[in-house]
Amino acid sequence: MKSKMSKYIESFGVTRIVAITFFLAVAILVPVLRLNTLTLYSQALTRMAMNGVLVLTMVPIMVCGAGMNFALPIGIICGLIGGLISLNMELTGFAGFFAAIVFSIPFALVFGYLYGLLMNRVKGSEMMIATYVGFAMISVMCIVWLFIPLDNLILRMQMGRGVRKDVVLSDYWAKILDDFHPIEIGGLTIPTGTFLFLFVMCLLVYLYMNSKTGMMMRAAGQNPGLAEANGINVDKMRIWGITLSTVLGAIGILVYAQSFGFLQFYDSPKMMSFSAVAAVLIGGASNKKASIFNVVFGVMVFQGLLTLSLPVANVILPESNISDIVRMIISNGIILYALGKGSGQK
Amino acid sequence: MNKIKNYISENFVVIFFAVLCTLAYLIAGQAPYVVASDLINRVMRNSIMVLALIIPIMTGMGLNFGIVVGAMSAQAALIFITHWRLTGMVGILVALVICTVISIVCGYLLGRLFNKTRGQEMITGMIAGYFGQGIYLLIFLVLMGTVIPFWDDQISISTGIGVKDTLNLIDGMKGAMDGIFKLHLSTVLLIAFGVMTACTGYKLWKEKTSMEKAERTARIARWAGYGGVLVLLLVIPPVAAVVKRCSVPIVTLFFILAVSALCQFITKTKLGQDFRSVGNDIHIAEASGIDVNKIRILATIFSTVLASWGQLTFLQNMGTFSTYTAQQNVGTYAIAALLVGGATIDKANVKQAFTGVVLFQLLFLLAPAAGTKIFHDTQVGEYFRTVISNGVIAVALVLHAMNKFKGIASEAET
Repeated sequence: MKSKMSKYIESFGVTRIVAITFFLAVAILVPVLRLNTLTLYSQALTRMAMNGVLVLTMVPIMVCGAGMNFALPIGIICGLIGGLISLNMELTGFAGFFAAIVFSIPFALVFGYLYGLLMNRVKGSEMMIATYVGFAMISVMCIVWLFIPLDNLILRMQMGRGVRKDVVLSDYWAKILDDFHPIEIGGLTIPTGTFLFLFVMCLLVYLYMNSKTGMMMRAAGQNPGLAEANGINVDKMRIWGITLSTVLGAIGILVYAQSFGFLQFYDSPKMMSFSAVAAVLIGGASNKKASIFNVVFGVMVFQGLLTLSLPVANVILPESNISDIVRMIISNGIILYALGKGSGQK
Repeated sequence: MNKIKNYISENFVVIFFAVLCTLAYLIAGQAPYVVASDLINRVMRNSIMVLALIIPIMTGMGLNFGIVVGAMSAQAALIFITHWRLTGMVGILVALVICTVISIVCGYLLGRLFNKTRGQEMITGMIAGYFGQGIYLLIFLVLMGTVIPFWDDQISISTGIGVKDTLNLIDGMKGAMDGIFKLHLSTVLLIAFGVMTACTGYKLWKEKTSMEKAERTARIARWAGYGGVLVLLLVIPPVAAVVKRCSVPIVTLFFILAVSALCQFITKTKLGQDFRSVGNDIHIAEASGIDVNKIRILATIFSTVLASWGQLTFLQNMGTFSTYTAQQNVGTYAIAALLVGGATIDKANVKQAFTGVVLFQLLFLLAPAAGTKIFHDTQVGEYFRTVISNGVIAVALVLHAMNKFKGIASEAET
């Protein structure tokens, strides 16, 4: 009985249990400490919805066998470029938001394809390289952002050239999805539009992953040798998976930005991949397996934990940024755990 | 002709960065004395951190991004020292002892982790660094003053919980190691040349029978060459003025030399051979009876301890540091410097470490001024630094992985 129990814990993952326990604890503590429960729960829901697509990017890339997507910044940069074009054309409302997505997709396809080509040449070290290629892209783009000529004053820095660090979206498409028929249940606000959008994206990815191409991709990721023997072009499948992830990354940052109210340029996207990776791992993904369920469950627990731990911590320990510390320890702890599981002693 | 071609292709990275530095120097147009003295300062405080990377590379674990953990050990030690109001040499020695102990423990844990994630050491080291930062923040920002009883009117946050985010080392601790004894650069160069003369003379005298004539002339030529350069440095007026004014912290210099001698020496011992055989082929090493896991843990401990010494040297030179962010870029900058010196992910030596530190720090120091001159914008230069450091690492990683993958592919074909 005891060994069965420990085996079960082992397969579920200690760090996951810790994360889920923490989440439940803070979720219960919020009403217990007489905090503004409904507002906080609404905030948590918004955070879950806005991060959903960014976490969803992990599915194709992990399934096709290229490891956790530490190069999420590449997709994010494509999304930022799309947002920049849309804003510079001064498109507002839904038109602006969807134009941003449409403009970002060609960039994401090109960058994703190139990134896929690179990943095929460095099999076995994808994660480390993805991280640093992502970092390098961010720092190159820092210089590019400084020199982009822009017409819209809301984008341009005061000195006359380059993009602002944080671009305020309130006159354009901030909260465009969040405020799309939000449902109010006695003070609890559900950002319907964002959830609907996330749901549609999840459905599309689910359908794609269960189509013939998706199946081939899965086979290529699980056992490349066998897949190759069965006539599947493994390299092509990997490129598809990586490109799809990059496109989702571009869409993901735009969804995030509309909810957040800002488009953040320069260094800001640097560490975003780590949170997204951690979320999908908490959801139960492992190195080569990631499902829509893992994404939804993971983002719920992880983002819920982050949102709710801050006010709870402020009551227990005023003026500490314990929420940030919890994020660092849990997200990196769970990635380390997955790395240990993934490679193991061969 | 072929020889020159070979030399260039072998040292391409170094030559590329040397050219880049020269261009940056010409564009920036800063006073030579300012550049030289700043460079000496920077090389003195950054060298040990770069040396810390050599042993893990030798052991086949790649670039140790986990040195951040060592850096945090040193910061913890300095917080204690400041709390106890220790200064001068005593302060430095106590800090050395504390940070060595902490980093041995951390290095052991890191080594255990690396053994669990063989083949993915670099990403593991990096994530472990972030994880370690979380723990470090937890200890010094939350637990200090709540769980751990702690109060110090100079370094505690006024609420009583946690340590302030900027830590000023008390007087007498800033530059405690640097300030003990300083000599002018010209004197240091003369002494170094004297030592070299003695060594060359001793070698020539001792091996006068066994050494070939060609090698003898080569040695003498090298000695004469260095001598010539030294004379030129001391004679050409503008250069001489700089060389005579710059001062070098001797104790720090000796510390760096001792660490590099240790890194050199260890390669010649039994342990060093074990390091190398594990690095060459882990399976063969295992088959020949080497306890691979133990060797890898030892290498990680070694690296972590050196990293903590490196951060200690760095921080005593700066005199003040931000408690929670000083460690953040340590890994990236040290690794980029080593790669600029021409090292790769499976080969690195002390010489490459020093070449790298000099070139990388020179570029670092000149980039903002050069960027401002070209683009009339201070930020370009700042961002250029991060492009260089991240870019160098990304390229090195890609090239290494491509070669490795090609190797595996061609092995599979045959």
